[in-house]
Amino acid sequence: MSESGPPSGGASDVPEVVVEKGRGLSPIWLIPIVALIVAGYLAYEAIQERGPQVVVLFESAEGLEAGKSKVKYREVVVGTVDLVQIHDPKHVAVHCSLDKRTTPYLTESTRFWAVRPRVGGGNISGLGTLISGAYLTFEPGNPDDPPVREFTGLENPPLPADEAPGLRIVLRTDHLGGLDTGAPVFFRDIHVGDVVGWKLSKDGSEVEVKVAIGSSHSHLVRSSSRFWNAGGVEVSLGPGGLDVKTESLRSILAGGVAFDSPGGEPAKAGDTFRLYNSRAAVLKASTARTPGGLHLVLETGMLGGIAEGNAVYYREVPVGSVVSHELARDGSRVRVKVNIERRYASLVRSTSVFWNAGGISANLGLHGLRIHTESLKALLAGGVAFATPPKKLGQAVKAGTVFQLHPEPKDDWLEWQGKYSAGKRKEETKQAEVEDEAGAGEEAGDEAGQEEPEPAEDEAGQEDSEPSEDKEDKGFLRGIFDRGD
Amino acid sequence: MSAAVTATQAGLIRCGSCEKLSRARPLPPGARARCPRCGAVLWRRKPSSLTRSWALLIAAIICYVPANVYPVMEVGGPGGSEADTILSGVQAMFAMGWYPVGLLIFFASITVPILKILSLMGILISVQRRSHWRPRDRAVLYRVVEIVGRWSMLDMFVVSVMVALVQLGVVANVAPRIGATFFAAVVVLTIFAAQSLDPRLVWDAMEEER
Repeated sequence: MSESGPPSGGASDVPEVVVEKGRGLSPIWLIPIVALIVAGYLAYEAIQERGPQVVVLFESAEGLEAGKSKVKYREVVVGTVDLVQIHDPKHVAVHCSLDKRTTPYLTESTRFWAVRPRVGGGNISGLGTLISGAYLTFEPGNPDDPPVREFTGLENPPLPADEAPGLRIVLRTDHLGGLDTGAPVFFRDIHVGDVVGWKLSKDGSEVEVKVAIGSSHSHLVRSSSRFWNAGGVEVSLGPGGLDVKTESLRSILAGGVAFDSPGGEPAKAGDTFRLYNSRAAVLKASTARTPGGLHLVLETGMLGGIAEGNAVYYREVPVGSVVSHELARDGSRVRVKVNIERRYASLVRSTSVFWNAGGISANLGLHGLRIHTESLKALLAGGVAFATPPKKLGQAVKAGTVFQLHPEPKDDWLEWQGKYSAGKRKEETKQAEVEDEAGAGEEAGDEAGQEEPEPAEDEAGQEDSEPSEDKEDKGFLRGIFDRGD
Repeated sequence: MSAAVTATQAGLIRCGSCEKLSRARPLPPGARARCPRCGAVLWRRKPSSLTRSWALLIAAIICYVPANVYPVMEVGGPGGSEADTILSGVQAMFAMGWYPVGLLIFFASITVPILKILSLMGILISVQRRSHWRPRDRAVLYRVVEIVGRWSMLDMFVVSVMVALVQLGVVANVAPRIGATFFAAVVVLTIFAAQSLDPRLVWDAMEEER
């Protein structure tokens, strides 16, 4: 059979084939079997992985697309939107298939919402959704609650969970004042937290602003912390010139909250603080509230431009403030409540006289023109000044003591100024406050070691005041023009 | 049919590799013949043509399901990634108004494989049933299936070129998905199924009639 020759027409010359034993079932059937196994495994896996189907109702399906939009949990895709259809005239139903691992968390307390690009209050979130389109996300429910497959979606993202890291506190304020979710919270101009949400109080009388302070800064919030609205630019025209205050560029645009912490216990989560409208309001309030400050009542015939927050001057140094003013019950006079800071309280004696320091008093007398004003600030804003006669000190006063508030000072009252010290220690304190003023050092020198003022002191003091007038740049602010031309 | 005697009728067999004509003789079941000159296995018709064709065709049909259900390609962009099945890809093309491209992909990836599978099934069944129905048309159909088969790979070319070219990291990247594997399997299996089917079987039924 191995013989082979050229085929020669007749079939008889052609050699026979070689015969070999067969091998049974064709191995080709392995191919469909393998295909079946692989495809079967995939199908099995798909069925195994098939998670719960849920329906979420929304008022609008803006940005949600069937087959494309995802359901994410902490930025991990855990499902897809399969179908978006109208549920009833006011709602759309978004059908989603979720990962089976989400099953235990789909309970009554689960909350779904859509994440869309949000631009507002200087806070831009969900930027990725500008390109990818909106997606759904949810807050896992308590696994112990009864499982649910139909949910009503939230129209707005819920406030971050309270168990998230950081300190959460609540600020109460009358007006939201431009604050929005995401507005920064500053401590000494450092961004330490954010506004995470706000809502009206139940009776609508206040706004409750929720604030989260980063955990690394949460110790800064103390029981005495004072919060104020730091949004925008605060421009004040004062004796020191034009003063522009802002926390940061971002707070100009987005609003913001700032706080300081004079001391006290560290705050706990959920503590409530007052949110003041401005830093000035904080200072005003804190002066009024300073414990131990000396509260006095001044009675006067007319208010004469005095307003809440005006300063109380002693030797042109603000030592307290006007807390409030009211008409006496019978309407016969005005009661102005002032608070003298504790460290200056001993300056007020039973013989002290108070007068309205607002405005300018001009006297044309024998000595020529005399113009008096307490300070530029007092001139603009009004204020109260007091002096104590150096000769008769009188008693230290108790809180609530009533004084007369005179509409304008008498000449000799002004002369008392600068000639009295309530004691050496107080004088030093005051000296620190007034050391800018010419002659202050000399005054202190003259009075050093003298516990009780003496008549001779009067003249010496007058002489002392002479050189100070040479400094004309300070002269105006010193407030006393006493030229005998 | 032709008046001439066929090689089979003459008891002759042609070697597939060296073209030598040899004389056939009855074989015991399961045995096979070898070429006396080159030693290649000889067959009168392609060996176990129907069995192989059927096996490959069934495997192709099985693979056809995941090829269409699972995504073939995943396109990732800055906003996340999106996996497309063949059909959703075609849908996307139509949605974007790229009708020619959409039609091309639809034709090459969905119509052709289905027609190929159906054609092969038709030929196989007709051969098994020794059908006399339009043998010439069936022969033409077979040739078309064999020629068109490789064009179904168009899709695979698209996917492999895209995967290779579009690797721009976060901006855009394309990755193949399991559907592509199955789709490639469908194409390859149908090509082999067509190849292992011996078109002469169509005519054998006609010859037997004589």
